Amino acid sequence: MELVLLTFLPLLGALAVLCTPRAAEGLQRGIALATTLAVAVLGVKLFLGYDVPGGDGAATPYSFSLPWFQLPWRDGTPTQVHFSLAMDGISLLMVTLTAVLMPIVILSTWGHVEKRVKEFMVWMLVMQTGMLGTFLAVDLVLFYFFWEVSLIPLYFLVGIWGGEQRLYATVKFFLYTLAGSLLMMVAIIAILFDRGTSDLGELIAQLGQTPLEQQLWYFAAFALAFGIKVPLLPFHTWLPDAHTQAPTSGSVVLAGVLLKMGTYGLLRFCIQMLPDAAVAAAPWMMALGAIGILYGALLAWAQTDLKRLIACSSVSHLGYVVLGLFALTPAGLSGGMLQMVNHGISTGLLFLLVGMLYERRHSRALDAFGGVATVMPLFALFWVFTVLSSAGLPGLNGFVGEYLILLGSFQSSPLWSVIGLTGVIFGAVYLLMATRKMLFGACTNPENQRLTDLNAREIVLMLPLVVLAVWLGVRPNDFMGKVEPDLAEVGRRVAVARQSTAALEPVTPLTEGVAAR
Amino acid sequence: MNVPTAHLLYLSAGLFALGVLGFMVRRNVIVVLMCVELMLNAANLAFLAASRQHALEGKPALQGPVFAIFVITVAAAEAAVGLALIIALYRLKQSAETDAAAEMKG
Amino acid sequence: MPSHESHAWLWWIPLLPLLGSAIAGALHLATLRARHGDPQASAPASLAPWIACGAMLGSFVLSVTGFLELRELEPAARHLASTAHDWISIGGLDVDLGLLLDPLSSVMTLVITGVGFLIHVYASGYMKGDKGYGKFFAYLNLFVFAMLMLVLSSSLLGVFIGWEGVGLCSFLLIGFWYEKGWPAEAAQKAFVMNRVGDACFLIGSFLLIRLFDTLDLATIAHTVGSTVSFTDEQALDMSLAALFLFGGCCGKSAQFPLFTWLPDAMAGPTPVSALIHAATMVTSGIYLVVRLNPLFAASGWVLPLIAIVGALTALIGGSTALVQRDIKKVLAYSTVSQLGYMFLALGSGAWAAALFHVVTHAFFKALLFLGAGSVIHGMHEEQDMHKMGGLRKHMPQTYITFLAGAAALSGLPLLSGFFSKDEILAHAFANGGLYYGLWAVGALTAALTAYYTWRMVALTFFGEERFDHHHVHPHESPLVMTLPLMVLAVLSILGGVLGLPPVLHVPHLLAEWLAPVTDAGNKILAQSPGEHHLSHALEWVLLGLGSAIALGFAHTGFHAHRHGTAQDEFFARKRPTLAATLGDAWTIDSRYARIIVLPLRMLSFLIAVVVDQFAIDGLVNGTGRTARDIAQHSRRAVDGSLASYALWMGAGALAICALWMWS
Repeated sequence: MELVLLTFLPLLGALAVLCTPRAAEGLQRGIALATTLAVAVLGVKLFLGYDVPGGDGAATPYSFSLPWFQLPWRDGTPTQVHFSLAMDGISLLMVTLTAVLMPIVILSTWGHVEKRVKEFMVWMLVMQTGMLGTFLAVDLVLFYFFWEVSLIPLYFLVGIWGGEQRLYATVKFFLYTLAGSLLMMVAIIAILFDRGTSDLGELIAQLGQTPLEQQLWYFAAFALAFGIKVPLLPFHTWLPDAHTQAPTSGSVVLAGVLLKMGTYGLLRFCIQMLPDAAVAAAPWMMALGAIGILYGALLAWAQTDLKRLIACSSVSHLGYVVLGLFALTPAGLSGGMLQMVNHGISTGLLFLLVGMLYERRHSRALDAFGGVATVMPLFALFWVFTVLSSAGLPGLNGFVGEYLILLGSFQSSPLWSVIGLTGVIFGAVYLLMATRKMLFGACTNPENQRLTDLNAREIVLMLPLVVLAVWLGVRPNDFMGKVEPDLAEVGRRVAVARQSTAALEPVTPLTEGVAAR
Repeated sequence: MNVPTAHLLYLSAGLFALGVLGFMVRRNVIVVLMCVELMLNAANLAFLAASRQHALEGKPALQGPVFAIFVITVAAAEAAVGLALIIALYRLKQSAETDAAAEMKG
Repeated sequence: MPSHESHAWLWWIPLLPLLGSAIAGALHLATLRARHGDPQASAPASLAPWIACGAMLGSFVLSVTGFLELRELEPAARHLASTAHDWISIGGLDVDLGLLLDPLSSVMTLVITGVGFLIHVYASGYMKGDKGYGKFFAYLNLFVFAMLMLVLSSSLLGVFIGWEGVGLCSFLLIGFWYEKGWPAEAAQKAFVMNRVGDACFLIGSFLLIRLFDTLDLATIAHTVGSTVSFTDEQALDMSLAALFLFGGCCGKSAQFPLFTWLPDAMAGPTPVSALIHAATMVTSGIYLVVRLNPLFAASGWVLPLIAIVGALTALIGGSTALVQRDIKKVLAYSTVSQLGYMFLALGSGAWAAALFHVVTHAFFKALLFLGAGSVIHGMHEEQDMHKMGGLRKHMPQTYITFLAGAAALSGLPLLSGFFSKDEILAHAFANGGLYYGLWAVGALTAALTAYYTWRMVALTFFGEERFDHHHVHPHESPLVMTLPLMVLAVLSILGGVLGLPPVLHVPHLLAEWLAPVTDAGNKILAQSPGEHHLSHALEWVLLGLGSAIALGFAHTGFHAHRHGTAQDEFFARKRPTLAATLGDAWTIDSRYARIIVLPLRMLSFLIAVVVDQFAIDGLVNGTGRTARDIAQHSRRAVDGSLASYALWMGAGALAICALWMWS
């Protein structure tokens, strides 16, 4: 039941906001903040209360299932679609991230959402329901339902409250994502008619019986839909435009959670549900991921718009996640999972900081700044911290995920791992270039000299993310401990699937069984 | 004397073709309506010819004429509606040309 | 195997500077706040050096305690370990964060905290009055924390925390005066070049995991040392691991081809140059190799490669320093050159000799940098030696201590630098074959070193005064700055006792101390064919040769430049291309800009504009445009005329009939 509460509480909040008079902006903001805070508290409580299933995959502690509607199948027997939500190790971190990130997003809107506050809050809350439902759904049709639900609010958020070219950006984003989703719907229907069930658990057990070629078609459809969302090269061009034109809070949600829906989908459906196809397609996906890392970094280097630069860095970072996931090794899977959370935190922080700068100067061009560190030292501190987290400085969150991913992919394919490693170098290049142009140098522009440093609200809303970044960097086990067993299960299934293909024999370690220290 | 069915069908086809041609080419809507009537009657002829062809020995051919009566009824109703539309068009456009009402362009 | 007692007090060695950094940072922020009211306020920040120096002193005392405790133990049992923290247990990777104090790390911590403390004291005087006084000490202490983590960590990943941490602090400190613009660029360049090395480091670590399934340094060293034979695959992996780890060292320790960031790093304040780019950070690479000496010893062809790179770097650095006019640049290239020596030593299997040179170099190079800083300070930020001259009268204490440092650097007999450098050259010579050539390069570089060192001394402290007497009034620096100079001078002079050559029939203290760590590697090397020992006679010859070279070229260099810049100008006139090439470090940096940076930048723009905007996005927008164009065309069928509709209807009906009839 807690899952239903978690998922639909934002919707209730949205309804409450709808009932408020249009002019009561403070009330609307307050309701939205209160709702998201409640969801955050609930999310953290669920995280803490999550018990790792013991031994051989016992039933997940949180789940909820109701029969929903029926679809005709074969020989007159219908198939039952369920409204089933469940949380396991794979969705645990994503749900918690979504829950915790939203109050921060709402709090950040104080500075940049002035008109039509009511609709904004409604859309944000509806989107949160959609996102939470996507992560929690374990019925394919329900998953698709929530997937589409989270799509529409962003269309409006960017289209109404966005920048100068918002209509182009939002229509592009919407049609692009929708095209992929439609293919996914076809695949879901095909699976429904093939197997007669849309329940994830049953499909995981059964889909191994489908011939590989058919599985590959399913995989392709799902991978396309998720790949567009991730975004995976070459389906990434909607992201820079969407991010640049979106309002700050929209960008934070987009980068923080929505993109993760794509990677989550890849892990859940393409890898966990279709392991044979995943093993077959892994080299391609790894290649796309690794090239994406490099491509995104080089792309970011050439940008002059700060927000666009960070958007391109997202392409690069999520290339890491895809590389790690499709390495299909324990380190790669765990690293990919961890990096999903890390990217949400560090890129979320980056967008928040850029937004704060934009609220003051109304410009995103790198050349408009210079020497900002002299007048905004606190901002500079937060910015450098975030850049280091994004670049993977050991001790902060980005490093652990990055290292695991590169290690995991090195175990699968040294070539792509090394190509991905160059992302480590180029990541530093474009991030430091942006930092230097923005923060360092002499502060000569009179507009810059008048800038005020961060106020209390801005510091407060960034602090949780900063704390998380450090915590994840120093004690990642606290978070990944609950995730590991389910990921290990996925790893086992993949290993079974891999047995048919000739796997590389690893070099025999010289210290067999020595506990690494 | 027995007119071969083929001749009847040729005549029917010819009348139908004339009707189609006139329907597409003529500018005056009343003439177009007349061409529609022509097409319907051509179809009638085809029905009659076919039913006579396939009538059993000794029994009179009934299906054809019955169908033809249906068609005539429909034609009459349709002519009535069509003429009403023409009158409405003329009232609006003061003309009974087909080019008169081209507002659905694009 | 490391003892499993927990010596938790070890953690205070790195944590004290971390704490100091946090407090100094807070003081800085408080000062910024105070400046809202009074722009000249400096109050809370002036406490910062006390905190920072106090932290350093505390760490030093603890390091000495650790050293003494180790001395109590049997050589084989000299490990003090403390495992605090199960850092990562994810996805099959198991890394614990722990500290290990053994002979090697104790030497390093003593140098880092000892020399570091002196530099901190010096900096409190040098940076006085700077707007970022508190921030400086926050960064400096943070650096020391990272460096200590580097040398004390028991796991390679823990080393990497320190490794990147020192890179970060280097970035922050090089770009400390970022308002000037170019220090920020130098900082960025340093960080990126370091990152290239770091990428190699990571690859090396993956290979180590593949080989040993652990990143614990002691375990790895022990395993390599005790395994009798390796399969071909394992040997290749080990060589590759050694190669890539060395690549990481090249980045951090400024070896060819990743050295060009170091001269640019002189944009930072001089105490930074002394601490980071002379005494500590750049020695991380040497520490890593010595720590994993069995792996490198067993890596076959990688060791000669290291020696070649080291010798080459030494030559490039030494020759470039000959023509530099900026006193800090001379010292920077000199550092590059001396680091090359250390890698030459490592490549010759002389682990202890390399570390010996690390220690002596820390003494005299820090001294030289701090002395240069004193000169710059007294000359009101003038760094061009052509505008100095005759300063020995104005800055006697700086002058005397600088002489000591110069003597040590140039390898004048009986000073510390003499013993360490000659030991390196002796070991190189002893290996024979390829190493004879490398020895020759090393000897040549020693000559160059003596020459450029005394050229520097002559131009700065002797000759006529070439500065503008109206605007520049050189004065001696305060005691807080000269006292560290004196301490370092004593160390530079007497430091040689740590490693006296065997011909003198006294024990090599440092080599004996490091034996538990280096024995494994030495044993592996002893198995390889070739001469490894010099006869006593040959050693005396080499010692004599070294002294002669040092004294001779020191004399030449000094006297050629005693009276001013005439020699420099003559050289620039007579051989302009040679002077220009040398001055630009053999044009390596400008080649990088042309061959690597520019093409990459162009690739980046190519990707952004051509591939992304035109091709991919064009495709995406193209589908939209195509849909719209199709619609436009289809519109023409709907023209409002009844006749055309009738035509279409008829045609459609015909088509259906035809289909039906011929299906």
